[in-house]
Amino acid sequence: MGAIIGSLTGIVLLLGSIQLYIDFDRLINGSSDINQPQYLVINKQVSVVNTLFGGQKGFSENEITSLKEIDGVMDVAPLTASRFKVAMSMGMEGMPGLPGMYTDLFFEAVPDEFTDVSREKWNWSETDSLIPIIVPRDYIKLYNFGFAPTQKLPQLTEDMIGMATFNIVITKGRDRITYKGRIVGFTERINTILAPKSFIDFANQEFAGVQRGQYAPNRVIIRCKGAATSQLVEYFGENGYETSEESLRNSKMSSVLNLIMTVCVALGSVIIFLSLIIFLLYSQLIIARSSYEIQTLIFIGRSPRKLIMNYMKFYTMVFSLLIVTALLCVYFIKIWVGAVASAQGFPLRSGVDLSICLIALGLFIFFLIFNYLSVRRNIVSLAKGR
Amino acid sequence: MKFRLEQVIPVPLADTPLSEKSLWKKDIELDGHAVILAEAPSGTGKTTLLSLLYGVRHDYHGKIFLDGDDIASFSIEKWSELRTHRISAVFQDLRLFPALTALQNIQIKNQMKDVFSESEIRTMAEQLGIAHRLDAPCGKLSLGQQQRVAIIRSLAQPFEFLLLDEPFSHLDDGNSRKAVELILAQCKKNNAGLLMTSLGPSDMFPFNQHIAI
Repeated sequence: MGAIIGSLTGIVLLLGSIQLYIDFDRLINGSSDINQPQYLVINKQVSVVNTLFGGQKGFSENEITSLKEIDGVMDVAPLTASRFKVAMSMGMEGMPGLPGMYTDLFFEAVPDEFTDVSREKWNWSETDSLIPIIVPRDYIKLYNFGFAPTQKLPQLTEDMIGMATFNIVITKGRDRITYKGRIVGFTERINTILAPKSFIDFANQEFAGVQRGQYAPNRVIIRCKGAATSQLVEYFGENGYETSEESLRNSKMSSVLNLIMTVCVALGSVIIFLSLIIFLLYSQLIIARSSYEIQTLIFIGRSPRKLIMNYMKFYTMVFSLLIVTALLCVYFIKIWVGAVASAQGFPLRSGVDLSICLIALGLFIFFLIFNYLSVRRNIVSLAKGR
Repeated sequence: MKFRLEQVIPVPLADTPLSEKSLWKKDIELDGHAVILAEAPSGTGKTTLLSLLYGVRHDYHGKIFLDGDDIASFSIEKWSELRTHRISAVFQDLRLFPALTALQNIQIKNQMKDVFSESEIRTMAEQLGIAHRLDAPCGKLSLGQQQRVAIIRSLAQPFEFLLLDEPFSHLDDGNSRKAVELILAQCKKNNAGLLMTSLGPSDMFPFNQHIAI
């Protein structure tokens, strides 16, 4: 009985932790950025030296190439900065209830495939006067919860902001060229104000006389596999690159999850191992307790093989019950955990995965084989006499 | 069936001085059709000899052949087949199940080959004077009664050679004679021989081979 409860605990712990690991892994990696490509924006550390002696060093072609060669890095692209003076102004016509605003601004651009806004919204050609813009999602929060209350301004939703247009004023010498701008998207990916690359390239040349590629980029964006981030962080450290730690949070979470699951699996395995030993002792005890009967049966001609099979029939039944009960327990634990998790805003998929059933089947076979070997050894030794 | 022993000596007896006549460390043949008496004082290995021939002990030097095959090569399954079809035995310690009734003890063997009907078993029990105890648990029977249960059980299978290890040690002469009669009748029916061990000379069976141990 002790052995049964012990194995049940061990198996439930093992299967349960693997199942929950799969679920949470799916949750983390499925909905946010881990196994889907993850984006990292890196820059070189700003030191006193390059502050004093003019200009940060950008990323050279070589450095970008060697970044591309790191395992797990899928793509690397420079962030192109605007080199012209630009300001944003918002008149009364922009949004009812909003006062006129004017602020200096800057833009950066990344290749289109690094943005998460649909292509048609993100197009810009020289004939367009409307410039689509992406701002970090944090900016709305800054506005809504930081700025708006102090100015007695209304809070805005993303949709409302998307409807507004404002003026983008570019200064070239004494000329002021005005475009319209509209915020077409918000991003958590890149912490900058993005304009289409085609616009930046055009405007840099047109208004600042800067050719494409004339300046080495100060920041680059990397698209990489989520799993590769720890290796990348190491590389960044070695080369004096900086990145936002926060963007690596998921990878930390996943390694913590890994650790917890490893501990649970190890614990489950130890318990299973111990209960297996108890099972073996138990089966040895059963055989030892009836060793006279078993030996006598064999001595009067009963086949040892058939006796072993009789024992195995019994254990097959016990282990089947054990495994089925364990799977049911995992199933119910999952319902419970699922309820708790969705209350916290983490929807888990319901049901027990096939892989868990296969592991359970594997354990079942493992238990049977182990017991078979033990029973056979004991009965054969009885059959042999001395 | 024929056993052939070549220079056999049980491991526990390896250092014991042997008598001139002893079968140990000699070459000897035991014909399954003979009626053999193995006579010796206690402690010389009578039970051991039977255990070797019955395959329940394997601690010996030398070689034992059954119909030309080295018995050391027999698997436990092969032994169980031999014990079902060819060799039967009455053990010195009887090896009955004390919790089962006398009848169940006999049936547990009988049912394997379905040799006797229940009424035939009752008739044999009648012959040996234990019919009234057939439904009592074996543990409750006297040693003499148990011995007779074990004898009937040993007959409840096809056999070519019957090994009897001091089968009458707890029986009086009259009851022994009845048992001998039953055993001989079954041996004849099976065209089988027997090997009986005894502490002293015995004329219970019409022995045609005597071996000393």
